[in-house]
Amino acid sequence: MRYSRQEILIGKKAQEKLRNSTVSIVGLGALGSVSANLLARAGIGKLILIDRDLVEITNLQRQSLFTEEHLDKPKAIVAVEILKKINSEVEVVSYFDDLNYKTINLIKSDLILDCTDNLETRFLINEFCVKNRIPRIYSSAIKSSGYVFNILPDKPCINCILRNLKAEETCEVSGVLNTITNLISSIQVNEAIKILTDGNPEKDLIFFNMAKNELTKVKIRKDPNCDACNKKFEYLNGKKQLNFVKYCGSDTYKISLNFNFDKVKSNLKKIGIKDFKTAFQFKNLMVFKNSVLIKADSEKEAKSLYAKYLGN
Amino acid sequence: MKIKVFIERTNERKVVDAKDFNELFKKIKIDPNTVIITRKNELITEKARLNNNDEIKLLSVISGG
Repeated sequence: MRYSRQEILIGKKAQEKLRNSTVSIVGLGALGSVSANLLARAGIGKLILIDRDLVEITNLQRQSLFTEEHLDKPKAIVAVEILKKINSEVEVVSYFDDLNYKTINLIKSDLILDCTDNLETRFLINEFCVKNRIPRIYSSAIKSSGYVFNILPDKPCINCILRNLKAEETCEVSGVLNTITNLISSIQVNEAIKILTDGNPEKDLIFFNMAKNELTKVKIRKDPNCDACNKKFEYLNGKKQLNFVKYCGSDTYKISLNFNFDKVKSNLKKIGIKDFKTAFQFKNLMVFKNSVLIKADSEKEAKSLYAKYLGN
Repeated sequence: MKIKVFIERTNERKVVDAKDFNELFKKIKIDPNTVIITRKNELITEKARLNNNDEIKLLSVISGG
């Protein structure tokens, strides 16, 4: 009854396949939060969510799972509460954590939606999916444009397209419309349903420009020199991990490191921390087991804050 | 060779005289590492050979989510 309007179009068997499927969503920003909402409403069996950010006032313009009452709370924790209210039949497992080569196994599932905000994590997810033959849907958006690309086992991967490339613009500087993020998420979830129900998923890279309402489909071929396709997994084994990354659209820097999380937490507890169990917040620092996120105006300031409170 | 270029980031259309992508990118002052290069709706790299009257579309690399 609940899915009757959808079942008319996709059929009972496909609906059952959705109910028996698990989808991981990496990043609960503008794309991930909308995609999670759509999948929960469509009747997916299980969602695995991972995100390392707190809800900020600037998120509310486009991240439709969150409201003012959620400000300063972890998106991963808030999302479970909201999604269960939307559809209590969906199992939701959520991690307030940073996705890196040590935590990547958390997202093992039938399909992965890549909704993150930096290329380093996108390449890591790419290698994980290629190695484990897990389908994945890449999505990204800025200003009034965005991409969706289905990456299926043995087909071209994101490294075949973006190898050695870098993003020049960030949402923080160039802006982003909530209409493009909703549109890109809708295309992504539409493709997810096709993949999970043996439909006919799109093979080309989809680029949509909302300013001109123009859809471009780009044919992608496998790059014979692609590291990931040639099973050279340097992000996955930690060799190519960048130690210092600035995230798109935020003043957040990430430092990856190995340190004694419990000891540092215990030391800083004396001068006041906000404890989220898998992470803790101290001044402008959010500390996870393998990484630290620092809010700062510049890389120099981020490094200075890191040295001041966490030492070397 | 005359190359017609559409730069999605700035919504500009240009006709550039260039013998290869190296020269083309220098003339339009764009870092080739920040764009996805397409010709006839197919992904190509800056190593591809240019032909006279080619129509090249440069789409921005986007990492935001």
